[in-house]
Amino acid sequence: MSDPAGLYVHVPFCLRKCPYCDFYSTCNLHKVDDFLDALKQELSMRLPSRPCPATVYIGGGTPSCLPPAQLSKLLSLLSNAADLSAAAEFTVEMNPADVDSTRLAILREAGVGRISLGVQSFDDRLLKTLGRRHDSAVAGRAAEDIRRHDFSLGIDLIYGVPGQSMATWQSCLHQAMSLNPEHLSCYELTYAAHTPLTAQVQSGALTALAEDPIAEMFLHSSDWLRAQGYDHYEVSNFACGRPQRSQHNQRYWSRLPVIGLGPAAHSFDGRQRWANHADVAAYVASLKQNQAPEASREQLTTGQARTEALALGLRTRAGVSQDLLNHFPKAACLLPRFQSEGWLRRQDQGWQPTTEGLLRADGMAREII
Amino acid sequence: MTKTIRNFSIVAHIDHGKSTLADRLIQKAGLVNERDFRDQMLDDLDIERERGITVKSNTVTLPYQDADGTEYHLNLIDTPGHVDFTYEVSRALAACEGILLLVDAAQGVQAQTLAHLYSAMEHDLEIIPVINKIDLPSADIESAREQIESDLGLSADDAVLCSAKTGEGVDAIFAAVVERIPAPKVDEKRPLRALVFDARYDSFRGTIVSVRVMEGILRAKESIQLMSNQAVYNIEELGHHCLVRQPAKHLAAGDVGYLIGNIKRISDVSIGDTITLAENPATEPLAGFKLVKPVVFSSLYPISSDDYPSLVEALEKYVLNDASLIYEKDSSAALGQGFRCGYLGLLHLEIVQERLEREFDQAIIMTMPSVQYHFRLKSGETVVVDNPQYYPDPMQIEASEEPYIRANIMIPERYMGVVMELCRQRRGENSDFHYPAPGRIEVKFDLPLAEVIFDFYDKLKSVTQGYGSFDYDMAGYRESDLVKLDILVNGEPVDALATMVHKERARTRGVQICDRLKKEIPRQMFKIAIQAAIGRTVISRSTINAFRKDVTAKCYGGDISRKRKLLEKQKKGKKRMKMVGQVEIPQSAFVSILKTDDN
Ligand SMILES: Nc1nc2c(ncn2[C@@H]2O[C@H](COP(=O)(O)OP(=O)(O)OP(=O)(O)O)[C@@H](O)[C@H]2O)c(=O)[nH]1
Ligand code: SF4
Ligand SMILES: [Mg+2]
Repeated sequence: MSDPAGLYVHVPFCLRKCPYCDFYSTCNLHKVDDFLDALKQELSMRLPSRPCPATVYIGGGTPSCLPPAQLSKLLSLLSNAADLSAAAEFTVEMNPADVDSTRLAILREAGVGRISLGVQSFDDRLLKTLGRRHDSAVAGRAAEDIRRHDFSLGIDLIYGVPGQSMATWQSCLHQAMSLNPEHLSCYELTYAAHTPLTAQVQSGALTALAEDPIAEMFLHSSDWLRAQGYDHYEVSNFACGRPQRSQHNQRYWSRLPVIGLGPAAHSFDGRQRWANHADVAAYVASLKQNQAPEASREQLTTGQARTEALALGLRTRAGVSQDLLNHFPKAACLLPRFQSEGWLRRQDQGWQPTTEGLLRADGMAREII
Repeated sequence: MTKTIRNFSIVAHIDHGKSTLADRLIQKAGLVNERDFRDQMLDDLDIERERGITVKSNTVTLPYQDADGTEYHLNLIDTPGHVDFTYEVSRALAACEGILLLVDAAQGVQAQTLAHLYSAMEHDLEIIPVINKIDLPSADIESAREQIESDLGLSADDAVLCSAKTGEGVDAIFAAVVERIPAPKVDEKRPLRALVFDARYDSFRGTIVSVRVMEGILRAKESIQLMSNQAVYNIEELGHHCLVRQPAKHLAAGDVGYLIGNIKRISDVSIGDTITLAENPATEPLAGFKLVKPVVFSSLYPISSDDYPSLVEALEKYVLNDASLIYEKDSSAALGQGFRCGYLGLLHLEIVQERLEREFDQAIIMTMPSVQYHFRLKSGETVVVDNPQYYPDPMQIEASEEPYIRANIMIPERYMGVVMELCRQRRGENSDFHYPAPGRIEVKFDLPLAEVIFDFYDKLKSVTQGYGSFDYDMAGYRESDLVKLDILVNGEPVDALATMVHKERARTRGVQICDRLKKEIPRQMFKIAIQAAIGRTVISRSTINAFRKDVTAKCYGGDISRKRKLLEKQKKGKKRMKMVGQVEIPQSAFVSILKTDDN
C-alpha cells in the first residue's frame, strides 16, 4: 500500500433482518467476540505496518447494534492497527434505534467524524413495510442527538417503496431537510433476489411501484434537493457542498484502493479485487488457521478495468473522460445520440450525465461496452 | 426361403399409435430386453422423442415363429403420420407387400388414413385394417368398423382389434401378417436390382442405405453400382436392422435390409435409386420415386455474422441425414450472409430449426416462410419468386399467380358450418362434399397454399375440437392479387421481415406482425416505431416505448465486480439479439411472426 488506501470494516450483525436487505449479516450476536478476535487477526495480516488510511468507513450490517463494550473494542482494534488520525473522513453507519449518548461518546472519543444514519423513511407505515426497528420520532431524536455530539450527519432514505406516493416522498424529503444533513443518500428500493420483500411482491401480497412514478420520484428528488443547495453528485447521493461528498464512497467510484475487512467485505488494490467469505463462521475459521479469509480474488484485465471505469463514471455527475471513451468503438455513434436525447453533456475533456442521464446510467454503459 | 419373409409398413393418421404398436411387436419378438426398452423405441431422434411424433421411417426385422413352428422373418417399417412427411410413407410402401392400416378406435378414420390407403392401393398392397386403442374408455369400435366399411371400402370382418398400449390383439396381428400378407414374389436368378428407399448418415460408417432387394441377390464384399450415376462402391457390410445392425452374408431377393459401402455423403446416393452389381448389371432401373419438392421457403441466418462458417458446416452435416432440406446461399441487408432453404412444410421447418440449434449448437434466425409465386412481367418473361427480396418492381408486373392445393377434409357433420367458414376465411373456393357414412362428411376445397402452410391444421383441429383431419394435393397455379408487405423499424425497411401476401390479407397480416414484434422486442433505451407498409403506404404501426429509467440504486458495499459481471452478462445476452439498424431484435421476434393467429 504505497498511496494510502481507504479502509472499510464490515460488521456483519443486525438485531433483525430487514425484508428487502441482501447484505450479508447475521442476527446471532453471540458471535461478536469471535468476530472481533478474527478481525484483530485480519488487521494484523492485512495492515502489518500501521498505515494511515485515507478514509475509514465502518458499515454493515449494523455496527451500531454492537453493545457499547464491543463497539469500543472494535474501535480500539482499529486504532491499534492503523493510524486513523490523518483520515480525511471517518464514518460509522448507525441505526436510529441504536443512537444513544453512550455510543455517540464512544464514537466521538475514537475520532469518528461522520454518522451515516439509516433513517430510510419518515413515514411510519412505510417503515413497517421495510421492517425497520425505529419509527420517525426515533429517527428525528437520533438525528438531533448526533448533531448535539457534533458529528457530520448523513441520512439514508429509500424511495419507491410499495404504498409510497409522490406526496409521502416529498414530505419525507422535507423532514430530512429540516434536520440539515450534510449528506443525503436517496436509494431506490431494490428487489433483490431471494429476499422476503421480493417474495411478497411475487406472491402479490405487495404491489411494486411502476417505473414511471419511481422515475418521477428520482427526478423530483434531484430537482428539489438541488434547489435546496445540494449537489447531486452521484445517482443516489447528494451533498451540501462539495466538501461534504462522501470521500470514502468516491474512492469506490473512482476505482481507488479500498481495503475491506470483515466478512463479505470487498477490497481493491488498483489491480485486483477480492472478497472475504460472506459467512462469519467461515471468516473466523480461516483466520484461526492464520489464512486470509478470502472467498474469491480476480485480477482485472485492462478491458475489465475500462468497463468498470465507464460504468462507474456514468453514475457520477463528473462523468467520463473522452480518453476512456476512445477505447469503446461503439461510443462514437452512441454519444451524439445520448447527447441529443439530453442524457449527456459535452464538457471540455469528456461527457457528463444530466439528471435524465443519471437515470439511465446503466443503460448507457450497457450500450457503450 | 423367401416364403418366410414378410415385408410390411405400419401406416396411419398421426398419433393413431403406429410407433407404440411397433414397440409391442418388437417386444413380443424378443428383440429387446426389459432394461433397454423405452416407449416408441424406433423414434430415435431427440426431436421425435420430445415431440412424441415420428419424423423419419424406421425399419426393424423381427424373428417370428408361427403355431406350426415355422420361422419367419418380418421386416417392419414404422412410418410418420404427419402430412409433411408423406413422402416417407410412399417410400416405405415401395419396399412392402402389405400394410397394417391403423385406425384409432376413439378417432375413427381420418384424412391421412384415407390418403395412405389410396397409395397402398396404388402399390397393390395387401391391407390389414387394425382398430387400435380399444382400451380407451372413449373407444367406439362399432363406429370404427362402420367407417372402415364406408369410408375405406374395406371389409370390417378383416379388421384386427388391438391395444398397442396393453398388448391385447398383438398375437392376432402377427398371425394376420403371416397369413394375409403375401411373401415377396421374386426371382433370384435375374441380375441384381435393389431399391434404395432410405438412407442415414453415421459419422463412423458413412451412409447407411436401406434397400429392398427386388431381384437377384446381394452379397457382402461385392461391388455394386448405382444405376443413376454409375458410381461403384464396395459393400463393406450388409444385414438387417434389428434395432442394432445385424450383419448377414447376403440379402436375397424379397428381403429388406441395409448396406454400408464407404459412401461418404448421403447426397452421393439418391433415394429411389436402383442398386445393381458392377459385374453383370441389370439393364433397366426400378421405377424409383417422384421427386419431393419443397413447399415452403425461408431464409436462415446466424444471429452473429461471425458464426456463418459454422452454420455452413452445420448445414452440410445436417443434410447428411435429411436430404429433403434444400438450401442455397442468400444474403440480406439486415441479417448478412445466410441461406435460402426449401422445406416440406412448416413442421419440417420447425424441426430443421430445432435440430440445428440443439444438435449443432447454432443460434439462428429464420425469415418469414413463403410459398413460390409466379410473376408474369410486362416484358413477357415469367419469374418464380419465393423470397420477398426478389419481388419484382410492381410497375413491371403484368399478372401474378399463387399455388393452390386441393384439400380433403374429413369431419363429423356437426362441424360443417365452422369448417366452411374457416375455408372461406382462407380464400377457399370450389367446395365439394360427400357423405361416406351417415354423420360424416368429406369436404374438398381449393385453397391457396399460402393460407394453409401456417396454422390451417391447428385451426381446423381447434374448430372441430380435434375431430377434423386434412390432407392435400397440389392443384397448380392460379391468378392472384399479390403485394409485398414491408416491415419498417424506425423508418428503415427490414428485408428479413418482408412478406408477399394476397392484397386482401395484407392489412390483417400487417397488424399481426406489428403486434407480435411489439410483444417480442424488449424495451430499449430509445423508442422503437414499427410499421407495416405496402410501397409507401403505411397500413399499420405499433410503438415500443423506451425505458424511463435504467439504473440500479447502488453498487453494493464496494462490490464493483458484481456490477461489472452483470454488464458483461447482459452484453453476452445481446448475442441472442440481432442488431437491425439501431434496434436489437431478439430471435424470438423472428420466430413469433412465423406463426399466424387470426384471433
Ligand atoms: N390408450 C392407448 N393409447 C395409445 C395406444 N396406442 C398408442 N397410444 C398413445 O397414443 C399416442 C401416440 O402414439 P404413437 O405410437 O406415438 O403414435 P404414432 O402413430 O406413431 O404417431 P406419429 O408417428 O407421430 O404419426 C401416445 O401417447 C401413445 O401412448 C393404445 O392402444 N391405447
Ligand atoms: S439493518 Fe441494514 S444490514 Fe441489517 S438487515 Fe436491515 S438493511 Fe440489512
Ligand atoms: Mg410414430
